[in-house]
Amino acid sequence: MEKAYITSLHKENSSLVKAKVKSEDFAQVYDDYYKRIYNYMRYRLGKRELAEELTSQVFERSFRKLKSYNPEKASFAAWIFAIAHNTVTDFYRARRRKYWVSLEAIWDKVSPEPGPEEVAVKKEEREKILKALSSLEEREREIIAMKFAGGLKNTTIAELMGLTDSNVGVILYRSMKKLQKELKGKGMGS
Amino acid sequence: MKEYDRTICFNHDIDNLLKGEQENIRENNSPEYDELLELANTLRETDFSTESDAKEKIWHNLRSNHQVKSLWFKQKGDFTMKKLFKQYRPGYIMGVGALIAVLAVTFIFPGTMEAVANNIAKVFKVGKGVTIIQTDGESRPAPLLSKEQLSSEKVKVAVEGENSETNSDSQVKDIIHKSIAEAQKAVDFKVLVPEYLPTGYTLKEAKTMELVGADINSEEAKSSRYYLTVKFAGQEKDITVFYRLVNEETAYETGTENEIEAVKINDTIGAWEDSGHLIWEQDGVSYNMICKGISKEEAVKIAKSFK
Repeated sequence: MEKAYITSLHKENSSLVKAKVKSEDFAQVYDDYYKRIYNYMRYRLGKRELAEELTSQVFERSFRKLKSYNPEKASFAAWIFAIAHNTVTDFYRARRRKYWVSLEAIWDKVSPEPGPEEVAVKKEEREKILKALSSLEEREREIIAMKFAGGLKNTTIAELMGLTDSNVGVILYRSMKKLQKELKGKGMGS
Repeated sequence: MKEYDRTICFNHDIDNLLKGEQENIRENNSPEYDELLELANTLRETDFSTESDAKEKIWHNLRSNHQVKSLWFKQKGDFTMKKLFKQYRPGYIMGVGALIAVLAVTFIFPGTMEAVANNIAKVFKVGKGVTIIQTDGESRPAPLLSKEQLSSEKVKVAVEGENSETNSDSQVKDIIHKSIAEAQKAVDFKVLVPEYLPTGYTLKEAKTMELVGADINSEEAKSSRYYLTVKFAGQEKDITVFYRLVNEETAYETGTENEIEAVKINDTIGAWEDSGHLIWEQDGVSYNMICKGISKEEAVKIAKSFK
């Protein structure tokens, strides 16, 4: 349990911290991490369809690599976010190769958004956040995604991105200021 | 407070915020600092995951995959499965699934997705950049995605000139060149062209890509100079040649159920597939030629004439 707090700000499921994760426990993994991984993808990629697709890839990879997870080396959060990070990197690489094809049509029957006004306002707010995020540099966006969607500590982010802790802290602070400025320009924020 | 100290305090406060320990966040801050904390809180509370029913759909797909995997372990044993999945990383499987749609359109080897789950009959290594896996196609389990899911009608292909779907700063743009000399300036390898073409075939276009908005010195921008597509038009279907500078970045694997035949092209060995597809490598460049309706002998003659 203690190890998880070193790398993540979330309270991790104890079964994922102390021991190797078994295939049959994967439903629990999925339940615990879906929201964080999906939000991470949304922050990084912007588009909902892409976020869904890459989230799916992350869990596929995680499931298949489950046997290689070693709790002595890293927390489960660090491990799965490393996979998420690599999935996005691979996505951009594939796009560069021009072999990227969207499979969004597979999920073309996406349920319509609910209609209440409150939800509409929330949705608008989220869209503004995504737009503002897209104005940041890739690295800045990734750090914000890992921090707020992933709930990771700076030490973990630093390890995953090959930076120092203090670098992450400085970039995060500056990125937040940029984001705030961008959101103010869009009529959101204080 | 100095900027550096403010940065440390801010990171400390954010961690407390994310842990739900608001009581430990510093008070009496400047209005600007409080605004940043407010934004941090907004980000913390922003949850996109409720916007669709993707959670159920993804889980359903995962379970389906699990079933396929279990079936395979029973049929083929652990080693085979591991070997296959080592060659075809999960992410790649999805990419390959996507690639199938491209294959359907461009008539490159069909059956790539199935190759993952099939018996390997032959493995062809064409030069350093391409690996082709031929499978026998018998008694295979269901593919990871259903055929309906993979049908080319349903899969949206990223067509030429269309912007990518991400919010990334850079966008891929196709550049059409009227001459090979012009295309040569846009790539990092020497562009060879066939001295021999079947009667009536002439250059139609040469296409490269450019990353608009990318830093010119970035790896992303550099890699856009590794690819070229040249089309020749004639009375029959176009002959299309995909060029790639061979390196770690451009290497790829593909699969087919069709018979692959080794053919000699000058000093190298290429791979020919009967539906009209020839792959070979020459001087560090990989050539991938689609020539429907053209015989093997004619295709090899064209390939040998690249100068």
